[in-house]
Amino acid sequence: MLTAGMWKRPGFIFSLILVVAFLGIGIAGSTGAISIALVSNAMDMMGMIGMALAMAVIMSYAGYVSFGHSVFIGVGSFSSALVFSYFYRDEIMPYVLEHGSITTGQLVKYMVIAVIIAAILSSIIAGLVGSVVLRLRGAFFAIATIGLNYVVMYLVSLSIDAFNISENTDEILNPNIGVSTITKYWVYFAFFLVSIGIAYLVRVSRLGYGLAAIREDEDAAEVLGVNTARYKVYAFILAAFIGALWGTAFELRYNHYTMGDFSLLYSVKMIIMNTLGGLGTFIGPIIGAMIYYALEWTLIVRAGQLVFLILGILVVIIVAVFPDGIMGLLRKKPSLRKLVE
Amino acid sequence: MFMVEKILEGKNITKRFGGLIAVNDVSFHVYEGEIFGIIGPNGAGKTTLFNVINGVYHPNHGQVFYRYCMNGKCEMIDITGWKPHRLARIGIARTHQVVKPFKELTVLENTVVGALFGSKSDEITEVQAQQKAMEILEFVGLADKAELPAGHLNVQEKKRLELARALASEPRLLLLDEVLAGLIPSEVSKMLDLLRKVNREKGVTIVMIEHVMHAVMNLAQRVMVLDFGRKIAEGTPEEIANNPEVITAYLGDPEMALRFVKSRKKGEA
Repeated sequence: MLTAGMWKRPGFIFSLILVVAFLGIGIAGSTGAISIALVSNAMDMMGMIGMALAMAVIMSYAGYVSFGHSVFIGVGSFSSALVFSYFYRDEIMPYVLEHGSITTGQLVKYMVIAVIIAAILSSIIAGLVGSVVLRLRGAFFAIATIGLNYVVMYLVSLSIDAFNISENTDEILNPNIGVSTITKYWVYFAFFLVSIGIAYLVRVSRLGYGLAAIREDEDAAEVLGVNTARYKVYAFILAAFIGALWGTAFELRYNHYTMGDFSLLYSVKMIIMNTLGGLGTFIGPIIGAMIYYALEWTLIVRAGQLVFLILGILVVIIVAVFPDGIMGLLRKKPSLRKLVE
Repeated sequence: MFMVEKILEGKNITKRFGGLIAVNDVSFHVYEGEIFGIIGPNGAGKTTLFNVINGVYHPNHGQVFYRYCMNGKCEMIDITGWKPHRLARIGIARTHQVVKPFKELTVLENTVVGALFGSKSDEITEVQAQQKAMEILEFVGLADKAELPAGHLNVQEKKRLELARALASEPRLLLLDEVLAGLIPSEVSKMLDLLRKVNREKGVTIVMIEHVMHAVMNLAQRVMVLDFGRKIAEGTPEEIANNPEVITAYLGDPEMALRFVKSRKKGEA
């Protein structure tokens, strides 16, 4: 059903290397061979790549910038918070008081439920809204998604009120469930596999061809038989799902849902990572995420809040000097093109 | 004499843009297997008519019928207002006057898109689509450029790619919007050979809008002339070239008309 030689393409080999590397870090972390700080860094990087891929499916592949994509991080985070607070009194608290932490089985159960809720919510939002706003092209779509972000954020906070989920409208506090960083690392790793898998399969499938055609010339794509309206919605739903998936992971890690999970800063980061790496490719957004994370992390240690000033200037330079990103530069040379596809 | 079926029929098609009537009550039919030319001065409504047939525009009046075949059974169906992607699925392909290659994709990938989403869309696999695309590129003479990004092609090659993408969808009906425009004479004759090959070897019915007059006169079995959105004539190239209304409205110059007839006779010789 998929492209010939898809297991030999650079994108697949690159993903495989990353998966093996993160697997190695996880094992090393479990045995205590490397510090928890390093494990934590690796988690951050997986999270960044995951966010970049969430945006990549709609932005890098189909050419639509979902500026309000943080809505799906927020929805995922909310789903996870909801599940943990639902089970907190009867299942989690008694168990944690007695044993210090919940079991792996419990964790898997809660995360699976959270992911299912996140998937349903994000698909409904992306499907309904996408089928309307994806008719808008370019900047108008981006603006519409920002509106979407705020609408959903408000609805979530209303529902927290209405269902008495928390005393504080803006927050659901999840006291510690006692899960170790290493355990959370494996959750991240599983999500990493899912997101990179979805992103790669979309790229090399029929859907990927259709999206590439839409990105390049939507009218020509339609005339060639691509059901552009439907394909855009498919891409948006998948992009939304990956975003929501990571939302649940972030919530598990930081144990606390706030309205801040809907922050447009998430969207901005996703867009920067995609642009930096290069649009139109699978590898680009991943490399963009890795470089962005490396920069942000090194800078934040040295420069503190100044990091946003520096990154801001960097974005301007990227867009002005090489708008096609790192992969875009490589793609320009036919001889190097094979390396990035 | 055997019965030749109509593959496409337009009935009283009218398309208005505000106060402007771009296509005014035009009726026509195209027989299966023929090459049908549409000519007319700039702004005559040729491309608008294509856009109506192709589902880009919904006509204000009139209907478009297409002979759709499934499992050996054929019937005329009303395709008025169908979306372009549905028409591609039932075998209507189209090229654009201003070529629209997917610039960042390779020539091969461009053609794969045509194959994947065309009339065989439901049965073709990604692997088969790649093979199909490669065959088509060889057919149009672009095989050596397969791995090049489409943006790197020259005008003539882009026109060929536009044709290749359309052919990869395995159409029964091909709508060509000025495929010869912008080509130098030697390229024009190559393209004409290619179109003849498409028509004869692949049995594809061709409807072509063209400005390069000697080409239409040479290639088409029947020609329709539009002027200010109206159909003013239809017939064989000779009839068209000798039609006084066409000469005044479109050609303007009887001398020129005579030259077309001559050039056609030369072409046959």
